[in-house]
Amino acid sequence: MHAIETVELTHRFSSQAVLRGVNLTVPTGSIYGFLGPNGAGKTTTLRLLLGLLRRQAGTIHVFGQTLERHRLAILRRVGSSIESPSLYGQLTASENLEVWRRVFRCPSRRIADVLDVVGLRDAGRKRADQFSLGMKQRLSIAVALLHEPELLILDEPTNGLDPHGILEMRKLLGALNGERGITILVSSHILSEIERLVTHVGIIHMGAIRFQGTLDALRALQAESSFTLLDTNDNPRALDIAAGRGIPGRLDQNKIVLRALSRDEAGRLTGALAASGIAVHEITTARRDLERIFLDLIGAGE
Amino acid sequence: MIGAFALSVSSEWLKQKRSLTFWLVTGSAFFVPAIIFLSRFRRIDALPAVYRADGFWERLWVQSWESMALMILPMAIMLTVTLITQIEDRNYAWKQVHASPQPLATIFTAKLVVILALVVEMILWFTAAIYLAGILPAVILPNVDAPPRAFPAARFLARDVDFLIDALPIVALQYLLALRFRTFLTPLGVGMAVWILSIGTISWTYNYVVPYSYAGLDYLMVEYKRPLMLPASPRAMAALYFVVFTIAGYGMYALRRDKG
Repeated sequence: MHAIETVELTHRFSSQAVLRGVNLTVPTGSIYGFLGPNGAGKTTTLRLLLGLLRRQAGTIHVFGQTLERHRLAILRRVGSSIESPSLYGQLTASENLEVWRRVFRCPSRRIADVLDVVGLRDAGRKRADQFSLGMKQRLSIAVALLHEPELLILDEPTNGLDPHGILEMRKLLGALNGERGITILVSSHILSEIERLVTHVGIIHMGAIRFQGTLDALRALQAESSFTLLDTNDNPRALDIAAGRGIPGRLDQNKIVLRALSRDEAGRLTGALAASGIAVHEITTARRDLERIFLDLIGAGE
Repeated sequence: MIGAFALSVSSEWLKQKRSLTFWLVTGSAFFVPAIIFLSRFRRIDALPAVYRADGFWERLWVQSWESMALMILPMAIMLTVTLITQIEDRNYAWKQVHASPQPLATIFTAKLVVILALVVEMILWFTAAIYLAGILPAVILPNVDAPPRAFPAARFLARDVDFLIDALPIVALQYLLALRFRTFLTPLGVGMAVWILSIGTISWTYNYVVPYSYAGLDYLMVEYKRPLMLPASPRAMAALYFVVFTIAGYGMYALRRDKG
């Protein structure tokens, strides 16, 4: 079952299309990284999922229910933090949580519980406008967790955080998913920030989904697009020798293109070529990291 | 249902804690009575006679409400409504409010209830301040006796209700404007323009069409016994405007495409 499923979600601001048939599928229990550059349509998608924008075309199902028909019932099971933290600056952290505790009708002990979870136990009496950005982000997540939601929707929760803050946030979200089984949809424009956190990835660019699948599927794409380049004094014969060793390749612009070889494989192949009297002029392996794949998918690779 | 609504109201009430609204409400309530109190000390020798006179409290009441009805009450309401509504804009919190499981009608009404509660609080503090402004000189100055008759609290509270109803169109229109324009100055500027119009046309036969004029008209008709030709009582017209502006305000709020 999917926690979130959108079908052909399309949205326009005046005449400009910001979402073009987005089919988003967030499996229950996953941490779904929703990636895309600024202006790609991430926040618009998330706002539509929460009913903050009126749907124009396409369908939205959350927990298998239509958002429009079951909006309030769905929102009771969803915690969210969209863009900048929504905190009342003149209130303390505990008072901010009390505002939402009354709305969600949860027991008073939940305030201490969530402050503990986000590591703000000792800051409950501090005014929110005296918080650092990292503390504000964490307090926003505490607000989102107050009613023990099954699904968290977080829009760029690491925005403005220093490396330590990003690490802390990653640990927190990982723990929420691992220990409490909360499905998390987290958006970011930087893959490396969430690469070590997510189980699934959706990449959006110019309002369209460019990739969607597991992180392993993205890594497979990475492996497919890495290669080893070989140049010798007799490339056709070298190609045959490589093929004979179970490393098929092809000639491209008078050079041999092989799948990405490990250091050992490259060493063994050059040894075999030398033994056959072939001089190796060049051997290099181009490994494309996920960031490069991401940039290629959003058309910013070159 | 009622329990959930009461919790939404209490949540809204908590949001204005430590905001400027407390100072605005108490400041507006005590401003005129404080000036009257201080002015008593300009002519201390005349005070014993003033305090012995019949109708002391009524004169003090009329004197206090003159500035309140015409100027301070409308201004304070405009500022209070804008401040309360802008709490969400200032803290980027509309999106959190609208992503919470509350019907739009509950959100709209809970805020309105808080605003009305603050206006009631302001009028009650004002009445208490009038009493204090009257009684304190008699307590402080040995040659001044307390007024011969007791403070007519029940009668004055009944008039408080009248002025509260008179002020309802200001509440509703300012609320509509503050929800529509998410800046502080626009709703305040439009409100000021309507208020200036109500003052500028106070002698005009049809002044009653200006929705911010009813507290002033009520004051002139009842306290000054000025004969004014109105199609209905100021309270009835104010209540009608309130209903119309509230429905329009809710319609505009609920139909807004972008909710944060």
